Amino acid sequence: MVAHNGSAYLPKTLSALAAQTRPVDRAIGVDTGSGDDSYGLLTHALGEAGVVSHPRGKGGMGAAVSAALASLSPFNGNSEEGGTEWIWLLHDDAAPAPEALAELLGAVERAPSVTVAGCKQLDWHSPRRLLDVGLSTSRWAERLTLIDADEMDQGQYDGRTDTFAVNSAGMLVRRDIWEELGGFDPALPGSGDDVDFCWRNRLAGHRVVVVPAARMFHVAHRPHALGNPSAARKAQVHLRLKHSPLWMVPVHAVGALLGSIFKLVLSIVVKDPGHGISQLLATCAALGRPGALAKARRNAKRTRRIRRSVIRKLQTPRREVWSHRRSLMEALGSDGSAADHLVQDPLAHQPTGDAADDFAALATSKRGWVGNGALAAVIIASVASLLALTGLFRAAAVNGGALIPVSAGLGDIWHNASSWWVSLGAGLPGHGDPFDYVLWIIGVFGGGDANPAMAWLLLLGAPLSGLTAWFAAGGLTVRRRLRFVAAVMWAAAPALQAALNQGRAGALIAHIMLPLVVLGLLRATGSAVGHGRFNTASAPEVRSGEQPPAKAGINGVPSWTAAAASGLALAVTTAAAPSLLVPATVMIVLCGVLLGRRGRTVWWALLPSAALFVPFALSTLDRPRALLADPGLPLAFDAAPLWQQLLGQPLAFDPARGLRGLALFADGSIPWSLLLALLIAVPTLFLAVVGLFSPGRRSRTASWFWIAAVLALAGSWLAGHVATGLNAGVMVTPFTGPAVSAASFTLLSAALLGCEQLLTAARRPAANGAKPRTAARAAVALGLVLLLAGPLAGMAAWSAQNLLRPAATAAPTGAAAREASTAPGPATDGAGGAVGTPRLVEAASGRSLPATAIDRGTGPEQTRTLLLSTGDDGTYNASLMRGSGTTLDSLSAIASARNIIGAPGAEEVREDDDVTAAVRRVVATMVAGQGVDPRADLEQLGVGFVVLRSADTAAQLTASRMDAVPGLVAVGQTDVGWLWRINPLNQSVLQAADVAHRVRIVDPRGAATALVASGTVDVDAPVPAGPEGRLVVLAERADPGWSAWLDGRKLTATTSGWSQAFTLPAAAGQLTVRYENPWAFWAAAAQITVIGLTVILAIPMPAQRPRTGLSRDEGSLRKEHQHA
Amino acid sequence: MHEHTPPAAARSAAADESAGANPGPAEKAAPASGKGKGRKLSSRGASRVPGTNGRAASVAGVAAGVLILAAAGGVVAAGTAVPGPGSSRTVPPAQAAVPAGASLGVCPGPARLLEGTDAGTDAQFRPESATAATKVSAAVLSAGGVLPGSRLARLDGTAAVDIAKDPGPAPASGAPQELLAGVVADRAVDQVNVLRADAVANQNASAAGAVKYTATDGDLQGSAAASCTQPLNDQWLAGASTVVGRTSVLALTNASSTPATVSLELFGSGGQIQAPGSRGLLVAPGTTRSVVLAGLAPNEAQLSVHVRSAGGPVAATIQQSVLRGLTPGGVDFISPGTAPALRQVMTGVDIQDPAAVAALTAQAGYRDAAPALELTVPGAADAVVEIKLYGRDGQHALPSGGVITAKAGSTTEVPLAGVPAGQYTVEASSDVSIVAATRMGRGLQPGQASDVAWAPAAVRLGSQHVIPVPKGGLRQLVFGALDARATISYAAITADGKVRANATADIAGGTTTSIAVPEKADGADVVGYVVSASGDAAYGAVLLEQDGRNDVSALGFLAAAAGQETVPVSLGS
Repeated sequence: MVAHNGSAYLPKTLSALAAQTRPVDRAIGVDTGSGDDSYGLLTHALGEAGVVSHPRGKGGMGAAVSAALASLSPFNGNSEEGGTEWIWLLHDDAAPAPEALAELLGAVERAPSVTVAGCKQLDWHSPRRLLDVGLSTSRWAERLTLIDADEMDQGQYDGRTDTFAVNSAGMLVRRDIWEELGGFDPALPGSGDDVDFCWRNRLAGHRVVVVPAARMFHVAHRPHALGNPSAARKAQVHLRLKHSPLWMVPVHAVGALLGSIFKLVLSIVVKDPGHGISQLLATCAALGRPGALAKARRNAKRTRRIRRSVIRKLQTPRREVWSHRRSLMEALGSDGSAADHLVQDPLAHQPTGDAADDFAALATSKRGWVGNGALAAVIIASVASLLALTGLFRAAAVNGGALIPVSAGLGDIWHNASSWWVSLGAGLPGHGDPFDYVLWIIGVFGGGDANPAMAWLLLLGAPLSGLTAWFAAGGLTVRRRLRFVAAVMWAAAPALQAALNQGRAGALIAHIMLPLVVLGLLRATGSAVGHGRFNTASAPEVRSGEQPPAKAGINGVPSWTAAAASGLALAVTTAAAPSLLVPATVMIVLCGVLLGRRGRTVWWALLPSAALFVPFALSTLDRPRALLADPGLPLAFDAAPLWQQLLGQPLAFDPARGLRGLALFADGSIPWSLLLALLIAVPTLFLAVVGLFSPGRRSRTASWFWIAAVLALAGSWLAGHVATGLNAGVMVTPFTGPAVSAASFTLLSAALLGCEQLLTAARRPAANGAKPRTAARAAVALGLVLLLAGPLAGMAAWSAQNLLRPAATAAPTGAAAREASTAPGPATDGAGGAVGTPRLVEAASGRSLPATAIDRGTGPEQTRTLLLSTGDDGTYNASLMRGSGTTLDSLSAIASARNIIGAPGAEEVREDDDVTAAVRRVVATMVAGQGVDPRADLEQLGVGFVVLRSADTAAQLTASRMDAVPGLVAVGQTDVGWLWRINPLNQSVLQAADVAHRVRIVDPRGAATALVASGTVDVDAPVPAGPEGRLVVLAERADPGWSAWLDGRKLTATTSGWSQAFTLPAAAGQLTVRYENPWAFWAAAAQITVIGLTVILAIPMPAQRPRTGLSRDEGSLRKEHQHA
Repeated sequence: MHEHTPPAAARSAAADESAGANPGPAEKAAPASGKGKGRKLSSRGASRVPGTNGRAASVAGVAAGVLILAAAGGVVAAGTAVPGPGSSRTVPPAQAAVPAGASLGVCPGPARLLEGTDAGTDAQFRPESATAATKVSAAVLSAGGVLPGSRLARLDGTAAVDIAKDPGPAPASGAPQELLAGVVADRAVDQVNVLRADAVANQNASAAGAVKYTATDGDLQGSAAASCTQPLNDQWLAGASTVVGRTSVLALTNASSTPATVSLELFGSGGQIQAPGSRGLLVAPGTTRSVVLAGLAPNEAQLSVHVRSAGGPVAATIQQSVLRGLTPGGVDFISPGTAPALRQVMTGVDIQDPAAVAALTAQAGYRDAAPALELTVPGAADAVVEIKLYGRDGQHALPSGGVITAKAGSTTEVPLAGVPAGQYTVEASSDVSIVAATRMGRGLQPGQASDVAWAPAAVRLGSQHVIPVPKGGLRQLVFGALDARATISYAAITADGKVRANATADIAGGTTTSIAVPEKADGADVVGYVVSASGDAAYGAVLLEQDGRNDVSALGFLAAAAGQETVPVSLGS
């Protein structure tokens, strides 16, 4: 008898053993390191001498039995010629019927070839329920009982004798066979050891019978049993590999892995990824021990007497397995126990929705239309937004601040997002920003053009924020007033206004998405409040002790769907605001670690972000600061000190100042700035503190919110030390807005909890009399007015400031607005500025280059354009642009961070590399007008056009100087500025009308002899024959990732100055050039898999039990059924 | 708060949460919420669950809340007290070195009569000159001990004179080398020539050339001199006249390889002149185009031309000649002066005896024989101009008072007569940008051939100006200092390619000094000077006169070759 922590069952088992009609000759007990008094019980019943203590370790039951036999009754092969020695294996939780041993011995006496006999297993608690009558396996070595759910013992299997295997509880084994076969496989400690033993017994040429008359009452579902689904899966894979021919082993191994992956996908589809993951892990664990497998195979081979195929006939055919599983699933599906139970209960005539019975849900829904608050908040926010962002309504594109137009085509955006070559300037290795995927999604919403969609996004930023906050508030409170307040507050958040005014698309999207992340995490951990009939608080008729309605997401039931949805929202948020990645990860890890069972789903929320950021991080290992960089143009700003960030202000303001741009609230004795900031933030902070100290478990949720807020602020402070972006003379750190948004929203959530607490407190004394009730009502109304006053004042101030801004700042459009933004603008409004930031975004045409340049830039020429602008103090700003001009999606954090070096806080700009030096030199050459020919550099840079922005008279002087530069042919003034075309340098070969190409062929002297058509990155074009020793030169930085083929023959990579080149043979042919990254395929596959699975998991679907069962095998189905 | 959770569920949930809510010190503060089974204690947080531990749990909850608040306050206070290093740091734009290009100087061709001028039969009065000679002088300075590759050639590249061969790779920069000069001394030319000096060691070469035309007979009697100017895209020529007997021919030379489209803005005394033919004048590479200004702006006594070129830069010179009846009134090249500025200075202005000038100008047709300052206001606002004349012994007041108002968009002539004869520096300072040039005449007898010369607005002297000095006649270097003392050091360049010892001249503020150029220095012909200035703003010119004749010409100094020029360039994305 083997016991482990079985004190609950041992007394009954031991007495059953003692009550055998055919008493055992000798009883040996093994205690496998029990924590309870199993050992005491065993010694009490069997005596000290008959009990062995076997430390629980490897080998499980088989090892314990072998050890006990070896120590107390060593096998001495031929000592007793006359009698055969039999071993009867007993579990601590399986009590044999009194005549069991007698029946078993009878059976083995009748048939001498039987070496293993087993009992019919019945349920410990209900002795008529069948557990198994003999075991079988499928072709895939799955352990099968083939007993239906809730099948009663009516003697229907009593005719069975020979079976494939029998349960190890009550297994009678001939001692010599036990020794010969070497006992149970130590690699199978829990499940499947009996099947394996009987299998080997069969292979050794012996019989296995089940004796239905010998009954065994077995505890079916013992907690912490070894026989859980993942052990079963492990055993199944192990057995499959063990009992197959050697050549089939790899096939089976791969098959098992693929099967598990398929099951994982299936389980995700049916919202049960936990099971799929554990099965996959079990498979991997089984595959990951080749040593044990080899040992087991050796052992099995030693005792095998007959061919494996003989045994195969005893295994259950696949068809039978499937039909059996189907019947089990039906048994699960028809289980309406909970709903039926309630319907039958006259006191609680409420459906639980547990079975997603739609009719019941419809019939009893008490929730009417609750969206009035959301609608009101959206309308208020829309009005404020339309006033503040006049001109953006139906704009073709938006420009200004950190924002520049997006590529016109979805394909271009996708290419920039997924490419491993940053097509910016002279190019550099690096993966596209994760934010580009967000832009792509925006483009999809915009019907293929992201530019109008971006204008709409800015306009709808405030209403959308309100809406998401309203949804998120629904996870915290059922009070519509509070949801409305939350929506208005979020739509009026200063961080949102700063993001909108400065054109920070990333911070804006993060602000919109953060409430969804929080809501998703709330529901993923089951911390959200239920609405309607799921609300435990508002359904007082639910009696105590009754099971609260179980629904994923609330009342402590974790939700995979919510975790996946939150993961997607988090992926969007972190892609838009990478500085939130670290605080969010820390927060989720804390949840996952500290919330125990409820936190197990939140891990999934990290996967989409990881899928987005891992390839990006891989390509920027040498400059990890790019991981923190905000999307968009690096735009100077003045970060608020932390106390102002706590008040929700991302940009620093001088408390003593008035409101910027509003004459009525001009600087003076009254510190309007401070007053407004306090009015917006203080009520929330106060309520958040109340939430923290309110009694009950909601205060713990509030504590989590506070921790998240502190994390976000600390993250913001830390990130403020790392310069991440460099553009046109300004080096910036990550924007504080997203962190402020995160802190604000978590505090707002805590405040909602506190407010709810106060409202409840206000309602409680209501029963006492009318007077206090009126007072309480008045107080509540006053409080609400106070709560709403701040956000509404903030919105009004924002709209008014933007409407009344000076004409000078309103006038510049397009290029000029961008000009103003690239100059260190906020320095003028620097640290002591008033609350609010000037609006920089303007409607624009979406075109930053002249049409001619765009035409050649996007054609097969891939001509680049050098865009110059004059700054004050005689500075020239130059941008090397590709295609139709630099777009928001082609910007790269890697490119913008690559020139920053130095420790955090003491960053410097790196020395120019060859390319940067070449660009600077070219600009200096052209603007100085010294008559020096800049074409050598221009040709290498692939520049075919030069544009000088027409800003002022200084630009005009420069333009006339540039007219004189050799090789520059003035085309004229365009809507963007003066345009020059570059004449080809080698005019003897190239036509004057030819414009520089991205790819050119140069002769050994370095003169371009032919131009090659190319795509944005790859090249696939014919090249003519030419002299020996010529090179094909790309206007791209040299990088080992470039490879080229001519008619399928790989070309030798070389360099030409800083550019990538390949030696080209004299013959003509088809030239193919590609940029390849070894990670590209795997990263893309992983991204698609993770995002795809998460999307599938996140799509809400009524969780029906039968669907859940789809991915399960028989063992776990039965278990599931038991729990249902 | 009224959640009704079954005890078991509440226990586990609350225990989990409490563990989460108290990371770190909170756990120590609330021993009941430790690890393992002991967590049960905090499960009684739900107010409605009665229990002996409810009080302790709420105390623990409050303690946790206080701790979290303290942590939040601590983080905020610490973060506020220790702010980050600044969210935006301005990065000074990197200075990009401008690659030195070749120094170009376009030397005007000989003064020529207009086509279609009647060829007279009388030898005494025929318009062509038999004695006309046009000669170019040029000098190129060495840098780092080597002479930059330089040559003088016609526009089409023929008839080249190599001043120095290309030295090849830049010499190692070692100890300062002796200054050498490459010289072209008085080479006779018959058309436009281009002086070209390549950069050495990424330094612009110091090179300058000058053309001198002389004729003692014909209509174009007199002398004219001009520096070989650098082609520009934007330049101003002031002082032309198209009244009867005055001939102005604008020569536009495109020495580059890019076609130039030239637009002329003409400013007369009545405002800007709209001339149909003044726009879109195409000057092909390597050609010179002449424009008779009278065809665009007839009868303008004071005409200024703003030459703007799109495409290749052009060199512009006006050949201005005067014929009073049959008496030649002189010829000169009007060279472009400095760009419009608030202060314009012209030096080397030789003014004759006031009484004689007054007598002369009283004659009909001799009004423009008097010295005058030609002002042009390109902008839209009238200019109040203060004019000062600095003579050898200090400032001289103008009879008119010296402060005039010049109308916007037009030219204004300010007579300079009335000061004692001598060489002067003229300073015109204004409240808006102006363009200026000064005209001077020579010859006081009516009916006798006289000459006229224009001193263009001069550049402020820097270091190492190369000043070619044409041979023949009286040659003077004239320097003027405005406000305070300036020191001029000058060294003669001789025909043998040597730069002689430095001499210095101290000029008091507000005076004009002239230095006579000797025929020879150390036995070799003086062909030029290297001039450097220090101290306050100083200006210089070469005044060329002829003994026994009325010839006069002034040569402006070219801007000194800049060293390594840098341009701040910042790179955006």
